[in-house]
Amino acid sequence: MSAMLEIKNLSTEFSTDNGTVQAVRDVSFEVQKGEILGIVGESGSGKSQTMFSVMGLLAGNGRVATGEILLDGKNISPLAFKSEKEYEDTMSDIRGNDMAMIFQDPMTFLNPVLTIETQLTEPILNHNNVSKAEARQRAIELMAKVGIPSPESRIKQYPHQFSGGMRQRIIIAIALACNPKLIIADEPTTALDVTIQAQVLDLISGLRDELDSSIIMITHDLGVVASLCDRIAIMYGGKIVEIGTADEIFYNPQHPYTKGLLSCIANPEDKEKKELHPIPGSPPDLLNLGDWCPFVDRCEKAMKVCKMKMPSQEVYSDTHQASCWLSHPLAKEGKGE
Amino acid sequence: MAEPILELKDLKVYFYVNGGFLKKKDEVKAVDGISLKIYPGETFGLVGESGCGKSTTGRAIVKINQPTSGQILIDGQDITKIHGEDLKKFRQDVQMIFQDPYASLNPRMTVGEIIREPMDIHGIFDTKEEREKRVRELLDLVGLKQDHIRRYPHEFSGGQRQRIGIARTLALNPKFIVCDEPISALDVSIQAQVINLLEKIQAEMGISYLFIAHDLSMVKHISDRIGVMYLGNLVEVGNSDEVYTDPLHPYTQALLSSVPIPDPKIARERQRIVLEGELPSPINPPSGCVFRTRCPKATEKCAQAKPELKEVNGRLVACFLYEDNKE
Repeated sequence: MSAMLEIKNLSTEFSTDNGTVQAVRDVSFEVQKGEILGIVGESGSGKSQTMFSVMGLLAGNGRVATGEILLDGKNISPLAFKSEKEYEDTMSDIRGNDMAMIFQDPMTFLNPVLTIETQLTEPILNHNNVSKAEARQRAIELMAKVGIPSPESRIKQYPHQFSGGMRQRIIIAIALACNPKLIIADEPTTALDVTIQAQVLDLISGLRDELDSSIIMITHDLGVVASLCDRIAIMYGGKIVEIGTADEIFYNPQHPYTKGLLSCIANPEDKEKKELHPIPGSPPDLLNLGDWCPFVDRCEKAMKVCKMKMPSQEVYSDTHQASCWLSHPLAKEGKGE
Repeated sequence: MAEPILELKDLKVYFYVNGGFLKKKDEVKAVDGISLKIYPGETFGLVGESGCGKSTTGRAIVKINQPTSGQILIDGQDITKIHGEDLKKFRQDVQMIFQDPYASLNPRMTVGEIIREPMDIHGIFDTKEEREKRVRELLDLVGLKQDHIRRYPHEFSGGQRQRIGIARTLALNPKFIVCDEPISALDVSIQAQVINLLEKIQAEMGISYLFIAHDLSMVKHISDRIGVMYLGNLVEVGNSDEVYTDPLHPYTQALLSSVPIPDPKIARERQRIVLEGELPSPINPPSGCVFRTRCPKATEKCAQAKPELKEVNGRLVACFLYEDNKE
C-alpha cells in the first residue's frame, strides 16, 4: 500500500484581533489507499482546520505556516507554490476532481435557488470534457448509487424538496461526481437522526468497498468511528495526541485524553450502569498555547515536565503512537514528578 | 406504588399551518394522544427522532405549548387550565432546562441576576441578602465559582453556561424538571460533567426528571424508565435496561440497532436493522399504526386499526405483533 495523502509537520494559524490562533500545530499523518481514517476531537481541536488546510479552503485570515501536504506524491501545500494564483489554479483542478469534501450541514452547502441537476452536473462539466446530456446521465447514475428513489424526476427538484437525509445523499453524490481519490467527510452525520445516520454510514462504507477511495472521517462521535474506521487519530489543542488502529485506540488507549474520552461516554451495551468519569475543566484557549502538552491543565496525571516541554511521540506499534510524557522511560520508573 | 408526580392522560398537541382566507388549515399532529406516569425521584427518558413530538410533549408540560386536548396532572391537579395564583405555584414546582445554553441566558444580565430572577418574581426570601446567599449556594452546588456571580454569560463556555441554566432552574426548589436535550449542544468531555451534575442534584434534592434526548446511550445511562416516541405516539414504555436489552416494538428494535456503539468489535459484528425511507409527515400520518410504512413486519391489520399501548412482559408496547400472541 502507498499513501494517498501524507501530511508532514503541518501548522495552520489564524490572525485575529486578539493575536494569533494556532489552530493546527505540527500535525503529521498519512492515509493509505482505500483506507478510512477517523479524526476525532472536540470543537476547537483543529480537526476541521487541518482538512480545510488540505483542501485550500481556509478563511481569509488563516494561513498554512509550515509543512507539506502530499496528495498521491504531489505537494499541494500553499507554501510549495510561487504565487497565490498558481496555487488557486492548481487547487481548482484538484478540488472536486482528485479530492472532494462532504460537509456537515446539508442545507447551507446546497444552493437553494439552483436545481439538483445544476449542482450535481457542475463538477462533472468542470472537470471532464463531456456534453450536458452525458453529464446529466452521469448525475442520474450518481443519485441512484447513493440511494435516491426515482432520480430521473427528482433531479429537477430544488434542495428544499428533499429531507435532511436525502440532502446529505446529494452532497455525497456531488463529492463522488468525479471519482475522487480522497474523500474528506466533515461530520457528515451530525445533523442527522440515528436511523438516517445508520443509512448514511452504511452508504459511506459501501462506497469505500466499491470505489477504493480513501476516506477521512472527521467527527466528535466515538461511536461513529468505532464501526467505520480502520485507523483513528485523536486531536486535542491543535495536535494529534494519539493515533492507532480502531482496536488499539479503543482497547489499549495510551494518552490520558483518549482514556478520558472513552470513560466519559455511555455505552448502551454495558450491562451494569457504569459511572461516567468526565474530564474536568474545559478545552484550552488556542490563543495562549505554550510549547508544552496542551492537555496538562485537565490531566489527572500531569507532572512537572508536562508544563515545561512538549512530549515527543512514543511508538507502541507500527500503527500506534501517542504523545505523552507518561510513556517516557523516566516516568515509568517513577522519577518524573 | 406511590402517587405519580406527573401524569399525562391522552395528551394531544396539534399545530395549525398553511391556513388562509377561506382555506382550510392543515393539522400537524405533533403529539397525538400519549399517556404516561412519572413517579417522585424518577428519571423518565423520552427518546425519538426529530419531529416525533418529544420536545412538544416537554413544552406542553411546562405550559409553553397549549394542549389541544387531554390532561396534564401534576400531583393530581390538572394544570392545562390553571391561571393566576395556581399558575404561579405551578411555575415553582415545574421547571425546564433548555437545549441551547447560548440562547437561553439573557446576555445583558449577570450570572447573579439570572439565577436570582426567579426568586425575585416569586418573592422567595424577604431580603435581597438572603437571595444573594441562596445564589451563592446554588453556584456552589452546580460547580461554579463564587466570583462568577458578577460576570456575564458570554464569558463562559457552553458547559459552564449549562450549569448557570441548571442553577436558575433549581432556584425555586422545583419538584419536577423537564430537561430538553440538555447536553446535545456540548462537547463529549463536557456532556459527562453535566450528566453527573444532574444525577448528583437528583440524589440530593429528590427531583424527578423528564429527560428528552436523541442520544440514546446517554438516555439509557441516566433514565430509570424510557418511553420511545414515533410520529406523535408512544410506541413502547419500560424499564430502561429491559428496553435496551430486549426491545419489543419493531421501531425500538430498529432505533436501538442504529445507535453507534463505541466498541469496534461489537460494532463490527452487530446486525443493524436499517429502516427504509424517512419519517412520514405528521400532517398526513399513515392510517392505523403510524410506523407501518417503514415497519419490516407490517401486516394488513396494521393499516386498518391503530394499536393501543398494552402491557407485555411488564412493559407497555403498542404493536399488534404482541396482541396476537396473547390470544
